Amino acid sequence: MDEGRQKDLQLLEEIIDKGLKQKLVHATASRDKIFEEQKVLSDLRKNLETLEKNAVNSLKTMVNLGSEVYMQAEVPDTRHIFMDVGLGFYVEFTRQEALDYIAQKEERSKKQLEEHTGVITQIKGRIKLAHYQIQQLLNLPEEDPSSSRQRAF
Amino acid sequence: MEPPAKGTVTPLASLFSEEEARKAASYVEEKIGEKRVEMNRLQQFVDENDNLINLVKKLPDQLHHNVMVPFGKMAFFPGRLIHTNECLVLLGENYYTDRSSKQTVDFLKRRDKTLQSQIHSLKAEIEDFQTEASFFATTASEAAEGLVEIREEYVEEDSSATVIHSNISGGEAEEGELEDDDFARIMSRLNELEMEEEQEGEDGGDRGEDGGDRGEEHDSPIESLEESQHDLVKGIRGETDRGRIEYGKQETTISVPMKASRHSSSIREPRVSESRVKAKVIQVLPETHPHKDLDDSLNFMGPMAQYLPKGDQSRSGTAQQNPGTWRDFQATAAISTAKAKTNVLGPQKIESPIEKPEPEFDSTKAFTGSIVEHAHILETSTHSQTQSSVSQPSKPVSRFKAQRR
Repeated sequence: MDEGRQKDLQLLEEIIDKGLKQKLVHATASRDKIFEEQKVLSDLRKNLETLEKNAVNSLKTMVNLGSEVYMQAEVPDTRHIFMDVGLGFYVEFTRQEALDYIAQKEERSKKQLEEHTGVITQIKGRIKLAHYQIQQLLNLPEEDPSSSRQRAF
Repeated sequence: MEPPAKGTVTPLASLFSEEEARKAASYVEEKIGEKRVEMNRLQQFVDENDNLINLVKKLPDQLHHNVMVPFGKMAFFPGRLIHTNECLVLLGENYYTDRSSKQTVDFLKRRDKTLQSQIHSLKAEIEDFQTEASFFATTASEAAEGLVEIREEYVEEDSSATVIHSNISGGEAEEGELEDDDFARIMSRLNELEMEEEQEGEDGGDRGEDGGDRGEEHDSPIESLEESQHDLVKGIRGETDRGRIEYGKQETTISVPMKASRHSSSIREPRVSESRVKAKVIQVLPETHPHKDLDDSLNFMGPMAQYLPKGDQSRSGTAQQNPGTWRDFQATAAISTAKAKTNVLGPQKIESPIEKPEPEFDSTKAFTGSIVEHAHILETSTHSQTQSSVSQPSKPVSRFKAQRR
């Protein structure tokens, strides 16, 4: 009886483990996305600030046509810039507006980051708990059912 | 019904366990999946490449193109594409090069070729895996059904050809059965003829011991045939001394060259018939001419040729022959082979050069010298006979007559 129960518990814990681990993977992936977004925003900001500082109006750059084939491109007027605001929309900003917008977006992404980190931490904690329970069961296989029940709270 | 043939019955399940077959099938299918993913990726590259080729072709049409120039991932600048004929192409390993649009197009086409060849090889791999998987799947299903593999030895019904045929068909299944049948027929025919010969030969009886020794001395059966020929002559000379053993030996020597010319079994019959008849003739001749010359051997051939037709008729009557006949048969066999222009002619030719350097002088025999000549004559006669047809045989006849007179 005891062994059977222990086996059941073990199974349960294993299932939990799998589910928890999956969640952990998902959460980590979404957090990474946010990290990337943050990076992009910070790069853009830096560039815009540089442009502002040097009062650069025109710009020559290389455009990737696809498969790493580049062609020269010229930006005659850098005062207006189109920014991705999500859901496939691009809004035309002036340089200064763009900088403000970028700042706001960065804050938002920071918040998102914190949320995701919290979720991840929670999942990690649950996994740790399950591991501990399994360990207990394995270490003391001949314990009373009452004591094992106490542990599996 | 034939008696049950020996065979083995093996359930397919024992050879390929069903589980393993299914596991193998699933594993192979996984691989197929992986390869398919890879192939899709490559196909995407190919499509992208094609699009790029089209684009690069169109770009030089204008001096400038108004485009949205990306600034990082999230921002664009309105701008223009300038120097539309110039492209910077990545060659790999961080090496870039400036190319005109035409050169870029060529470059992209070459890249396309490489991609296509890769796709091609992947496709071949996928096909291989698919055949493997299907094989495993069918094996698994067969094993599950309890399919059984049965192997049986192939037993030929014809008893005379059993020995030969069983050797042939032992390992085979049913492939080439037609060929085996033909071969079996020929072989059985030959076997029958052999047996008949042996029977008639046994009825004859005595043989010269010397002849038998001679036969043993030489390695090739062809040589022994000639030896037996000489023995035949000697045998005619001194019949009393011959024992039965020698006969047997000579018999074997005959049979071997006979077997050498298997392809025409019909030849043997006339030979046999000829020998029977001509034996009597030959018996007379050697007694009159103790010295064996080339001419003598030719003389043998002459009368034999004449008696050819008779031989066929008298075959039935000559069921029981004396040793002389048998020896004659051997001689005629050798000669008739020359006449018939079978492959034995070739061996005879070989014989003669071998015979020449080995003139065997046995005190007990009288014609040792003549034997050598005999071979020589045979060689010349065979040569001539191969070249021309009927004219040659007439020569020995004439010579014989000349000698007689």
